[in-house]
Amino acid sequence: MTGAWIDGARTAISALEYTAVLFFLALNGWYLVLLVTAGFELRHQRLTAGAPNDRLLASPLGPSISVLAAAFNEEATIVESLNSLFGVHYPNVEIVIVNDGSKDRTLAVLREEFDLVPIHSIYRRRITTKPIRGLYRSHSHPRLVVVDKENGGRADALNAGLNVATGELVCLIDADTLLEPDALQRMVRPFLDSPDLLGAGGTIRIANGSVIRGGRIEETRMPRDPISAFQVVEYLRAFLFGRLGWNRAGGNLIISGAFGLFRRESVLAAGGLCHDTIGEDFELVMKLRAQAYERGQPSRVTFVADPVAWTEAPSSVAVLGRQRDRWHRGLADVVWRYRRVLFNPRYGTMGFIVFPHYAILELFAPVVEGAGLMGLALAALLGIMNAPFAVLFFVAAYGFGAILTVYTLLLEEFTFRRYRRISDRVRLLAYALLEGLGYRQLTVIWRLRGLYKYLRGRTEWGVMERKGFQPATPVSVPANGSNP
Amino acid sequence: LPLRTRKALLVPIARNLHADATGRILGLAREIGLAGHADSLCRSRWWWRRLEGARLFSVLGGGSEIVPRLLRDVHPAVRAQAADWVSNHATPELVEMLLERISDAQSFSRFAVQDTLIRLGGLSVERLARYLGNLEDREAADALRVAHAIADPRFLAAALHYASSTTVPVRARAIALIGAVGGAGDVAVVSKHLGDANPEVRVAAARALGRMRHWPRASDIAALMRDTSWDVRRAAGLALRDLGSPGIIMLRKMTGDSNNFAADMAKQVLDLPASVAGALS
Repeated sequence: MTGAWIDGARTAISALEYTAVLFFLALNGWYLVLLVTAGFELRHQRLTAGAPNDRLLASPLGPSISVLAAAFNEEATIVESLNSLFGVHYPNVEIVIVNDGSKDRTLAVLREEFDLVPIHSIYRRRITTKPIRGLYRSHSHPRLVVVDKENGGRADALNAGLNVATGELVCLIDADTLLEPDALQRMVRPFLDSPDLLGAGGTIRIANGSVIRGGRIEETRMPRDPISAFQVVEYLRAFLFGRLGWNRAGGNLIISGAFGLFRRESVLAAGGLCHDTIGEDFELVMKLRAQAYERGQPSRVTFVADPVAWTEAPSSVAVLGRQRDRWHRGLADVVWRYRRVLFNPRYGTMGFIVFPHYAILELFAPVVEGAGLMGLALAALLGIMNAPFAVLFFVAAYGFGAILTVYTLLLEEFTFRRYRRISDRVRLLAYALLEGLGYRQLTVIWRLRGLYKYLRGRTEWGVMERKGFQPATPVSVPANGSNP
Repeated sequence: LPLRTRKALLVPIARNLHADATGRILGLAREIGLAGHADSLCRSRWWWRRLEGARLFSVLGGGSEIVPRLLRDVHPAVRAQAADWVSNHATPELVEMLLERISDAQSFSRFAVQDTLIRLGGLSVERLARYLGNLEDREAADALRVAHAIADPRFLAAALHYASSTTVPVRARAIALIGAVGGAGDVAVVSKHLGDANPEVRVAAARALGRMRHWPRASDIAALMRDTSWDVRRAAGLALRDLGSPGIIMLRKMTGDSNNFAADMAKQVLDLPASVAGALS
């Protein structure tokens, strides 16, 4: 009887392991395709971009840009972030900060630092938002507009900013994002290339550990704490080959909320950001692209590797866990909302390649990975572990992934080379190799928790406390709002 | 020294030198073989090499024999770079070539051509004014856009001609151009368009009158504060503010208007700090 039971368990676990191995081979095989296309795309972008062309882009013909940021309890970082924005080299830029009912001194700090004067709070209300309490202009920085409104969440705040903004393009950022001086110039380029482009995303890098002065990254350094360091590896992988590869494989579906540029009219016509989802950035791009497909219009959303924005990454396990859980809930929510797109010929490559990737591979990856790990643990407990198979699982799930990550690091090394110190590069490589031993499994648990919470209908954001950028010193700070 | 090193040494220096020193830089580039290298790059069958060649000539100077040909290159990035090169090497023939490309089918290349014409300013005015003589709608809209940015009185005749165009962007840009270069004698043409059927044209007309500081038309502009289009109301408000005292008086009066939209817009415009109002209009 026991023998039959063990045989049955062995068969079940073996089937589970087979499924997991096949899943990871498919996932990593697809990543390999993305990596190759990313290589071609990166080459093309670097060839056409050249050196920053101040003369061309400082032209009176360049589109005007409104940079929008929602600030909720940002008193620690808001001044540093705004100083970084004022240093952006772009001729026709307006900065709209929306104080989303902060409970701390965010508005008071803005008033003190930027000499705000109240102006009449009538504006074109094309999207309904929570009530506006006041509208301010800065005397010292005339391009700065501050909207003070009742708390309604990030999407609501950005929608209020969209109503007030006047630029042809809107750059949505997080209040703690630090933009590199030429980031907007580089980001505008694809809009000059294609007048029908819906949106563009830039690279997000992690500021933790780097030396910051006057709102600018003075020296790029690896963070000291392992949690932030692992995220540096993750972000590099996500942006340098993930997003870049999608440019040539059906277009991007995700633009990070920490740094994305859109046509204001398109976003307004789409009704702005969605209030009742926690994946509002993903939902916005999905909505813009799906609507464009439905109208038979071009629906391109692109990623540009050169423009860089820096953000704080959570440095504590608890905050990071909440962030990842939220991101996965956001993914599940948007996939469910747009399930009509899945394998629907009306949505072209988005319906057959890009959306299925997120709806099947990304969404269920933690389930398969978790099941695979559980199966291995169970087999070890029961003494029925198939050693060659366990090795195959680890190679498929983690080994292949580590090779892709190392390849991404090589891309970084031969192109942007932000980490100048040898010690930082060595640490980057070490974290890339160690990622599969513990950290990756933690992210599986967080994402599974996110899925579970989504199925239970929980939509809270969780607390994201901030410490703020420390001028001229390496930063070590938790929390970030947007999904990379 | 290897070619890459020679390039790495000379190009950053050339980028940061005053235009007066470009002759010497070009001489040095010829001496060390960099100019010859750029020339062979420009003749390559690969677009990225031609782009690199045009970039090198843009920084180092020279290239008059080969770069003009690249204005007709098949790749838009190469055409854009060649247009950029023209800004430092302009001749009447090159301006003509740029004008041929003013409505380039590819957006970035079109942008580069138009931007170069604007940067050339006085050098391109005469030919652009002549070019504006008789154009199709698309070319006219692009040429008027450039003319508006340069804002030279020699464009006035063309602007008055296109003000009666049946195409909205052409009409709107022509009126904006009249606002930039016209005088009191042209106010009637602009004022006529305050009642245009298209809001884009009404916006242009209000802005133009504001820019012309033609205060006797303040009441006509104020009437637009009751327009159904928010953009028109905003343009009218800012135009009134640009008119100075008569416009401000009109705006104050409008704050008590029975039309709430007009009253709200008037309050909003009056509340704008002076530094911002100028930038917005």
